Amino acid sequence: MGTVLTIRGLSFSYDGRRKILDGLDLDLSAGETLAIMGYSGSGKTTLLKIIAGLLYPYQGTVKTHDAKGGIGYIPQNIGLVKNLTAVQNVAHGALGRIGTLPGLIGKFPQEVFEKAYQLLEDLGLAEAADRKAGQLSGGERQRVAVARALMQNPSILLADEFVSDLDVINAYEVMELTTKICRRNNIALIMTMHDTYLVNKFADRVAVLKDGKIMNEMPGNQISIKTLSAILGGGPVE
Amino acid sequence: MVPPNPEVAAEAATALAETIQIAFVGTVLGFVFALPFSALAMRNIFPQILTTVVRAFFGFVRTIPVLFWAVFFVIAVGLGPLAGTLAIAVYTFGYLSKIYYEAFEATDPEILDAIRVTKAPRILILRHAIIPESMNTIISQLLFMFEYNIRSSTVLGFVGAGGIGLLMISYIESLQYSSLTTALLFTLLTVVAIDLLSGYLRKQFIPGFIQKPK
Repeated sequence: MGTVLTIRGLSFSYDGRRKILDGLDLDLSAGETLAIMGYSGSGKTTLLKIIAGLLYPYQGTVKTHDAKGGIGYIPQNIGLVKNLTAVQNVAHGALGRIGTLPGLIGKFPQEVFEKAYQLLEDLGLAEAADRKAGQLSGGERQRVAVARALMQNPSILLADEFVSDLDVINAYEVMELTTKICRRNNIALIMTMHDTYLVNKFADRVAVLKDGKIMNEMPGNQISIKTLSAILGGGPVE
Repeated sequence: MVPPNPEVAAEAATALAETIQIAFVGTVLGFVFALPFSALAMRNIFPQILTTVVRAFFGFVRTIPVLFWAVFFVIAVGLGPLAGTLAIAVYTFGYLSKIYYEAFEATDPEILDAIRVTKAPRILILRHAIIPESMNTIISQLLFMFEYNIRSSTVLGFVGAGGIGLLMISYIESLQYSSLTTALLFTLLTVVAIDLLSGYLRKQFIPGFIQKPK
């Protein structure tokens, strides 16, 4: 598996005083599923936004290798256009490559919608494809957001606490589908998470973020609440 | 003033139709220009230097009352409905632009983030995310503006900008108060009808209204 992302010495501050990220280093391999854990406010969302190219300026280097399809991003609160249908929201993932004029007159290439319907089908949402996003359930909206990000043909998919608002069954299903599709297509997945059970089940690797740095990395199936609290609290790691 | 003079009903109806035309065309023209220009005032999309200039221009347009715009266009293009239509269009442009850029700026930033990562041009983010997300405000404010402009267009006739106002002022000057009552009654009925129509359109096109099961 080749490396798709290399981060070295990444530091970032919103106000120029308090550093949210402070000399962070991280590597990511193609097809790998990495969970980032840490307290709320520890900089997990900031890190994802910097990787996505949404936040700057920062110190250090963030280098993507072989990211031909770019980086897909699923925001914490999903960010769907409620007045548009599920399939129209998914087609938004192709807005960067269809050209300005066709985009302005709303003439998407046929293959964009074919792929959008296919992605929704893969995520178990074929029946909801033509329903407005505002009428979908939480779990359905989450899947639409995953499909929209996959529409970019990304090499890296960033998911910011994307199942945190779902019930346990829906959260499990969305995680299972997303990680399965990512592994099948060799897409590296970085997800910020709080749920140690889901991380245990689906992540290849866990990185724990504290004080703007990665404090500890371990295989996904080794994380537990006890381990996590020991790392975050500074106590002994079992 | 009582009873109303039924003999001027046809004349009043024709003048009122002109007033509605002035309000309708003026509202549509103002809307067509307000929609793209208001986007240029969005601070979360365009650079501050551009948004400041555009906002200052909107402020200037909005500061001048519609009656003054009517006087300006009567001088510029002469007496008649064209002056009224242009006055309504400019006022609508100033008002809707401000309402729209404020609605556009309130778009959930996560929608913008999710589409920005696709490297879509700003104009496509506006076209496919911001405008659809703000559609409820766009439609409801457009309907409100049309209602408001029907009333404004009536007054514009007083300064020679066409419509039923021009007829009313001629009745006042010739002391035909019964005819004036007829014109006022026609105007009242039209405003009530437009209010009802606008309420119906809101229920049909704006989500959030509870529809009775069929």
